[in-house]
Amino acid sequence: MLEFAAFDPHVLKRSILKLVLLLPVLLICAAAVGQSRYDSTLTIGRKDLATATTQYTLRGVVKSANDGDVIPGAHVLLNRVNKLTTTDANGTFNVTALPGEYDLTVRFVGMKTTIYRISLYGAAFVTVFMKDDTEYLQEVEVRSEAADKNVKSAITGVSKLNISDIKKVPPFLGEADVIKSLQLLPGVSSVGEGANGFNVRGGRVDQNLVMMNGGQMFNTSHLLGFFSAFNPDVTENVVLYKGNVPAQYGGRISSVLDVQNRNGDFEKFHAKAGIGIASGRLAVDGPIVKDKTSIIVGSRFSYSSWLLGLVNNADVKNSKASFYDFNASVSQKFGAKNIGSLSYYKSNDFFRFSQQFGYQYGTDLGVFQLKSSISEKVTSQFSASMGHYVSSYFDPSGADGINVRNGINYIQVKENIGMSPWENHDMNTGIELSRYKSDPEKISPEGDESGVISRQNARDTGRELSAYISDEFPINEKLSLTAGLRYTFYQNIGAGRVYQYSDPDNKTESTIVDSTVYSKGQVIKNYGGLEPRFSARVSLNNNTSIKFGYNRMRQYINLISNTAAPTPIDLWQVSNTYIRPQTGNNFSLGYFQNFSENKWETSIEGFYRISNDLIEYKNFAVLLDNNHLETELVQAHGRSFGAELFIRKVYGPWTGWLSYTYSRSYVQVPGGTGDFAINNGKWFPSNYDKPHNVTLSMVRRFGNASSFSYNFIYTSGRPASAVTTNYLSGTSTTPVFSDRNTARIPDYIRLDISLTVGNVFKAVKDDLTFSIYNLFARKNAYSVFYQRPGSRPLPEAYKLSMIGTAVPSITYNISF
Amino acid sequence: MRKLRYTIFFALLALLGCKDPVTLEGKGNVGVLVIDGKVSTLAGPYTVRLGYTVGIDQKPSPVSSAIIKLIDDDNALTEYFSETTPGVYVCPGAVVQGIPTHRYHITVQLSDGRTYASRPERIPDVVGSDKVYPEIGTRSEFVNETEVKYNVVKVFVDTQLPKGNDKAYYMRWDVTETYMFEQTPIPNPLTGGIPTPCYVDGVSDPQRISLFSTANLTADIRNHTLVAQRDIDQSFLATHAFTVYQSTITVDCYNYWNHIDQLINRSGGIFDTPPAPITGNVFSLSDSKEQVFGYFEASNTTLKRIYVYPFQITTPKQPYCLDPRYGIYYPAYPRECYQCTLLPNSTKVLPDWWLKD
Repeated sequence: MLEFAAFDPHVLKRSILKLVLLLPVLLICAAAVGQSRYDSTLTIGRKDLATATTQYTLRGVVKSANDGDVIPGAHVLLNRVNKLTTTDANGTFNVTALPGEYDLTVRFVGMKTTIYRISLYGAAFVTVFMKDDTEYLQEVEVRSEAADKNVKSAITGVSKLNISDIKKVPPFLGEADVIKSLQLLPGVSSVGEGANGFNVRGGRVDQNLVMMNGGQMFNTSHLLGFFSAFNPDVTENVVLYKGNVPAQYGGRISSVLDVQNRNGDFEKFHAKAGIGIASGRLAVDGPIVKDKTSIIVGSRFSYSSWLLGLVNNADVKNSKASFYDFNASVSQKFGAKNIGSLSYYKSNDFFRFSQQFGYQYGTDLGVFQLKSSISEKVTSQFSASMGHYVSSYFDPSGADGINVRNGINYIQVKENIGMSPWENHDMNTGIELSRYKSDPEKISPEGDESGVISRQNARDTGRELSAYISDEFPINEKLSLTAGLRYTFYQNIGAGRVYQYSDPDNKTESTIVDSTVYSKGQVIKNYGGLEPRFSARVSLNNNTSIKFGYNRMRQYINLISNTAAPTPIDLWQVSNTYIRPQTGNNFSLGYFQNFSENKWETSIEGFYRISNDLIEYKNFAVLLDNNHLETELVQAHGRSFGAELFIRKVYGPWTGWLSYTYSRSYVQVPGGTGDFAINNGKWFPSNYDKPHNVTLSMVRRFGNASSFSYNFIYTSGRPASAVTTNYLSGTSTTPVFSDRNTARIPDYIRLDISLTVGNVFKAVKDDLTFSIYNLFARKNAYSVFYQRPGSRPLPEAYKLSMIGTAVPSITYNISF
Repeated sequence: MRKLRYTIFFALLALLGCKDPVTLEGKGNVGVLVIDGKVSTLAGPYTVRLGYTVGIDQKPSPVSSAIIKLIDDDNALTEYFSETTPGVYVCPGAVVQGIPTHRYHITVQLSDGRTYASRPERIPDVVGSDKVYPEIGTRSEFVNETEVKYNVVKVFVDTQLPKGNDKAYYMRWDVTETYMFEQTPIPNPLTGGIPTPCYVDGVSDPQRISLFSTANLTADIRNHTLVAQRDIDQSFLATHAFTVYQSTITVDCYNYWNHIDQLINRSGGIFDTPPAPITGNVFSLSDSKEQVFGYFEASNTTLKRIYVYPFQITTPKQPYCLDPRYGIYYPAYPRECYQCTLLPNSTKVLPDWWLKD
């Protein structure tokens, strides 16, 4: 039992600060004592008979040392030449290399990493045995990629997290969270607690393509933004492309977040469950037909309303906030070379304040995937996905009691062919067809007294056809390239109505002079263009490289959200006659170096993005209940630039990273008068311009399955507008606000800690996690709002702290 | 609809948040010309104010010696304003008076030659009928995180628009007040007479922007609209009159006032539309890029009055001009108790409408 004696909070804060500052030092000391180890040493062929210019093929099979079963999907890396491959369904692999001494590293989730020292002077077949990682199964850094991938990979700006990384991050209300974990990475930020989504390198939330099993997600948050939409018990790994985006991906100009859920186990059943103070979860997976068909089902559900009942306020007591989500996936092996899966995701959120207003939103997403190995050199991945996101707002009070409902439907079919037509070439080509159709905005009366007229506003439909090809190949031992080209063709199609304006530069409701009606399927407007992708890596030595990347991307769908943080009820709007697609040109340059046999990863990356046709908003834009949104929007130029410093310790009892990001993001709205003239056409900071961001995220393991972790986060405050003067309108004192975003809210500092105690009960595999979010109980400014104090005429600025206190939580997790 | 983001924000605040004052320093919009005025269907005079924005918590610096014309575009009539106090210009309305369906605008010429104008406004043809009534209640205010309740008089209106109109109408209410202030009843040593009361004018709840639009509503009636709220103080020790002006305004004017309401009363939350300078209908004829603040409004306006009498106030304040401890020893009282014209906007002249409505 823990007991807290009376303490001086200032002393505690100082002690914690010392701990925070001391831990990196301890980390460095701990790293110094590490040493390398080989599981086996093999000599193949005779050195004196080998020819220096001959490529020898090393074939092999990876098996479990416990039961002799082959291990498909294991990653096999031959160092020095950076040959990375994956074992096939039979557990076999092959790599080729010139004669020499190599480390053959084999990794697989749940197995201890195995390293063979190979003296390669001839062709051979080897068997690699991997041991179960029984000792550190819960707590080791399970990496599904080569240890030096960060240095050797040809592309820049890629961050990968697997679920074990995510579960180590101190949770808020006990729930491991994909999005919050990403926000600890350099270049990734958020408006703050309670905000949907995330921002990458000064970009907007809708400029991130977020996928679950290849299907697009239109809202990644639950419960006022405090939980993410991804269930950690079914998530396998998360890849964020924030710099150079491979040609396989498109449709957003800032980043791509690819979240892959795991398949059910084909051999035996497993179950995981967790219960926290605000939510619970359960996941079960196992075989339907052993080694042929598997299933995984997971669900989360909140019971957070009881927390509201603790608040000493009648309105809050009567409020309700809840969510649930559900994942199910069936996987089927077709022979040794094909595996198909059908997955479904459903979520629902409900929030009601007192007996008054509230909102509800939900996602349905179904994805079918078929992965085939056509030959040794050709693979195929086909996917078809269908999704629907719907949101509604309701306010039953009075004569204007209203219900507003919006939604978007999405269908996508995609085929990717992976091939290696020539040695050392890793090519991908494919085609992708997407269709976005927004539901009509439906407005209806809510409540008995409402006099609101039922009506609906038609929304647009768009379809996008993309084709791409890319190749990753080495020029020589020093230089490796990734080159790709993607072409997108977009059509805005009917049914629809396009208004004509007497003054195209001043589109308002009063300047509408005519309209053209288009029938269903009729093409209204075409857009398209090439999107080159290029990345190069120059190896300075075995542990150091320099990378350069450039890509152009187009975005045909936008989140219409004129607020600092997106809300669940914002609209998704496709490009149309007046709303041109956004384009982004991203440049990145990075220096990467690993130390101590990849125990330490370091990098510094610079980035620069030029964007065009960003969606901005005229002053006081009215976005809901508006069937001509172009009258409220302006399209802007954007530029973002900055640098990211990253130091990560990968192995050892202490793991984690320190990152510093300098990031600027500016917008310019050229021309315009009146409400369309934003800051007189000058560049101004975007809502996501947060210049400085420091993150320290560390984990210390203790024995089997126990750990202590903490995060320290500092970010600059984001831009806001402030009152600068006033005048009288009639008898009312009218505040005059500054030009847009010329003020800045206070900086943000937060420390979270978490302690996980494993093996609470010996009969089961379980752990208990205690965490404190915002340990300093710092009242961080999340936003600034204006309110008139008492009878004063002018509003005054107040900072809003969404979580102005330390939030303790406890979660019990169990798995079978 | 307009309260959507506002309500979500304050729900979040109530559920999870806490707030603290903070100082923000923005840039821009100081030294901008402000033109504010109106013409209505009520008889003149009509007023226009000119000034330059100065700084926060400072009134605009007045602009004198301007030439301002009020123009009835339909009748091609013009009437000049004259400056009564620095920056305040008054037009008697002898030539030009607000007529429903007519269009009006003003032109302004500053002493340095720069000229400005307002975009013409057409006075709407419909005005609703109001039933005005008071209610005694309370309001809450948080002082140092403690809820303090104040007794108040609330002024409500029930509005009925003429039936058979299928157009959308836009309305705003303004409320002024006049109360009788009775001095300490010290007989005049010369005449022996009891001093007469003062009548004090004021604006009730000026920062409450009361708006109503029938756009997208089936109802042509709106009941129980709170248009003013007034703390109960010594002004209710005698008869207290509220004058409610109901103005039917143009959609542009409605949007202008709606933006003011957003800035004053619901602004800056994470889910709110970001605050911004408000664009009105006045502009520079000399430099199209020059920013100008303010609005010249043309409205169809009616007024209604109600009186609140001391007997209606259940929780009266202690009469401070009549204290048993002091009797008629006048030096013990505040000066306004024996010289009530010291009160701002007060007069000894009985308003010609007093108790006649």
